[in-house]
Amino acid sequence: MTQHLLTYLIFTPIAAALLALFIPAEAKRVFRILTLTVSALQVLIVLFIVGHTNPEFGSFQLIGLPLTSETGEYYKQNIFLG
Amino acid sequence: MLIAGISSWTIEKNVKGYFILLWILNGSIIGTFTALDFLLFYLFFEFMLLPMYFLIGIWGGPKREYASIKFLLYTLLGSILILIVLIGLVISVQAPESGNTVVHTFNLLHMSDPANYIFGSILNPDESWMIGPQTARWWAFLLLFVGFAIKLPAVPLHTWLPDAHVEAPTPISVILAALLLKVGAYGLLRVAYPVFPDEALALSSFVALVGVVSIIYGALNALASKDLKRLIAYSSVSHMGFVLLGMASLTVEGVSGAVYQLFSHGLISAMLFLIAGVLYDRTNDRLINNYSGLTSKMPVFFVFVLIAFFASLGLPGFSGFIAEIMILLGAFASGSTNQVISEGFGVVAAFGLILGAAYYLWTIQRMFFGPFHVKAEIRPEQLTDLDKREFSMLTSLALLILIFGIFPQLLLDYINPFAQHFSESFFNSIRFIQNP
Repeated sequence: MTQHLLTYLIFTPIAAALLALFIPAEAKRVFRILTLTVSALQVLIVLFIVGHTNPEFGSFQLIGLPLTSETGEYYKQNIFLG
Repeated sequence: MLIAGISSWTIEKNVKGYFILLWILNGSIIGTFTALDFLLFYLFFEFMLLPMYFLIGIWGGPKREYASIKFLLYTLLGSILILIVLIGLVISVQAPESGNTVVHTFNLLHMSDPANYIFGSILNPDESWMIGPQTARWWAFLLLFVGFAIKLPAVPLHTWLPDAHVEAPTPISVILAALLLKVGAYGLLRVAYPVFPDEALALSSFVALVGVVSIIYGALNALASKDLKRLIAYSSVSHMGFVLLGMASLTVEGVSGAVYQLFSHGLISAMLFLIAGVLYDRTNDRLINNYSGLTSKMPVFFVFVLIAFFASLGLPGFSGFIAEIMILLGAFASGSTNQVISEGFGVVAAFGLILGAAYYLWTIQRMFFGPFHVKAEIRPEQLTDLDKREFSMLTSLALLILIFGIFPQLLLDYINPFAQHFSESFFNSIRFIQNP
């Protein structure tokens, strides 16, 4: 669940932008309410993230892939550039 | 973004396009702050430009085209400088444990580890290439610094900001001040300093000097500003100077203070721009000298102006005080502990606080005290006090500013471990570079 929290945070407004393409331009109130809903949802996700953050750990947290020396193998298999 | 969303309810022109651009901007900003991969960071950094360009260029004030193009050109120049360094880093860094095959990586954590640099590569800390009189790493840090300093913005790369703020609609000014400027400081903290610690240390006095010049120059310009929004924009330049000073000190107090300032300025500047917007919505006029004695007409509005101005000038009890006192502590401590920057920078920065008090108190005196008077074109009945929507936005920000001013530990519990880790890994990297 916590693995994709940051992705949800980024793509919630993008999803709203895509959804807005199908809403008629005259429906001003719908856009305003959708903005409030999206922003409120983001606030909830942020609060959830804060709740799952360990304040005593100063480095990166909530990252999908553990960033250790073993990740070299992952890069070799998935994003080979060299 | 929630406050900017509520503030956007007054937008009437092409609402669909406005909100779509606002959401794209929203996603791009969050993407920039959450990316761990330098390429992804750069892409989100670029994605932010176009929505902002259109939001200022279409929904802005009379000189919106000029302001939006200036914003785009300045930020694009910064992006190109960052892109040059990105390419240099990618060809210089390999993923750890990749064996005999070289696997290049965009991972910022891998770039921060001096052990991952390919032998003989352009940015290898052991044998960095020479470009003119300096090493390639020195130039790379300088390019990153300039790229992010444009976004921050720091003097003399700040001139796009007052124009963009003055012309942008209120919600976009809020986003610009509260979020977009922070991307510059975040880039310095997350990319420039950890990836090039040796050069960051060597250029600390230069960074501190840019910070102090921004503090004083921004404050003097704010003092001379006749437009309320321009005054707030210049005060942002001054406050971002404190962030640079805190970073340059490389002390835990200084770095914590810089991060606290980013958070605090996000709240305070949002409130300040909402205040300027409240006045502009009623009269279409932001010139300070066109108002006098507003307290009698807008008493509730005046209370929020006092809170925002006092918070911004760094009065105790407000979040701005905690940030600035920690930055000054860090600047002074640096001279006696790690000796990275001189105490003199702290002394000059403290003078900037006095200038801050001067321009805010003078503005309060001119606009709100004395007998009621407005210029002939403004009808007194236009000056109504806050409506429910404005009251709720300003109240929520004022409460947060007070809460984080009275209970700073709520935030410092999260910031201090980061600053500790930042400082430790910074000096560990330098030790590794000096004794590989």
